[in-house]
Amino acid sequence: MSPASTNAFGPPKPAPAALGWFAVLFFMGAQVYSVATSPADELMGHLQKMMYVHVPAAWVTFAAFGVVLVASLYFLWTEDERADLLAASSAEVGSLFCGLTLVLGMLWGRPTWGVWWSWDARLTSTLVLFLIFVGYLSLRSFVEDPHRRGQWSAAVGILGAINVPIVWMSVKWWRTLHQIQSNPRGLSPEYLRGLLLNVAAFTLLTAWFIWKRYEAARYERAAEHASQAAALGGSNG
Amino acid sequence: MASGMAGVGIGYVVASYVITWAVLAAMLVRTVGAVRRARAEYDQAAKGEYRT
Repeated sequence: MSPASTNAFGPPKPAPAALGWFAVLFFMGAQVYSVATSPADELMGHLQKMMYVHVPAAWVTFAAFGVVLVASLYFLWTEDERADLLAASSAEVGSLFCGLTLVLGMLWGRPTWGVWWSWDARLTSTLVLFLIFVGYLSLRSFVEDPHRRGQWSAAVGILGAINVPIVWMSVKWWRTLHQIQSNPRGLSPEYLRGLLLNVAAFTLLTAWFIWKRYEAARYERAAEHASQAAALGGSNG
Repeated sequence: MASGMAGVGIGYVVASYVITWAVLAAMLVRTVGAVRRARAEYDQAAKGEYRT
């Protein structure tokens, strides 16, 4: 038996329900507040309000893939299966937000650039990032052995996370269509408040999603361990 | 210019919020459901009722 598959552990510590409720209500409040209080931009009009979903979605994508990087490295170092499950949970949530970022970017691009999609450096590198993590999740569904699955997906997860700084810097390295990320100091206060509130709300919601996905993964593995232990006990007895 | 862009963009703005809320609501339901199913599976296994 491989080392990781012998990592027997019990049920997880459940995420507090109050945290989930708070995250959802905070998100709803932040969205309503920012849309209701920010005036139409001089140049962009109401399109500016897309900043409150597009930018936070991109931010939590990077944060979730950062968790994948740390958890994957920790798994390769210690072979603790819990780190592998955390990486997988974070990759799942990060992929969702990465896909959402791409769709929201397309909705922004159509009225501002006149096209739904352009092979611009930022868009292309984000698409590559998304596809790497779709591959990561597919790989996990193909490999049955937990140890091998953990090692292979950790390698892909690290490779994918290394792409994050490339996506971040792409607008500076290759000056194509996508604008350079805004400096918060350059934003007027009525826009900055909404942006920071939504970044905080998306971050909290993402953390809760990751915790719950991790909780589900831990229960699944704990059930497998319990059934294996019962089967071994039955065959020995 | 500003009023023109505002008029053109409002449909895209609404679409972006509808999509964001729909995706997050779906994720919420899916995640809570996954935890409940996994916990029920674990409870059964812990009681020795687990069947593969």
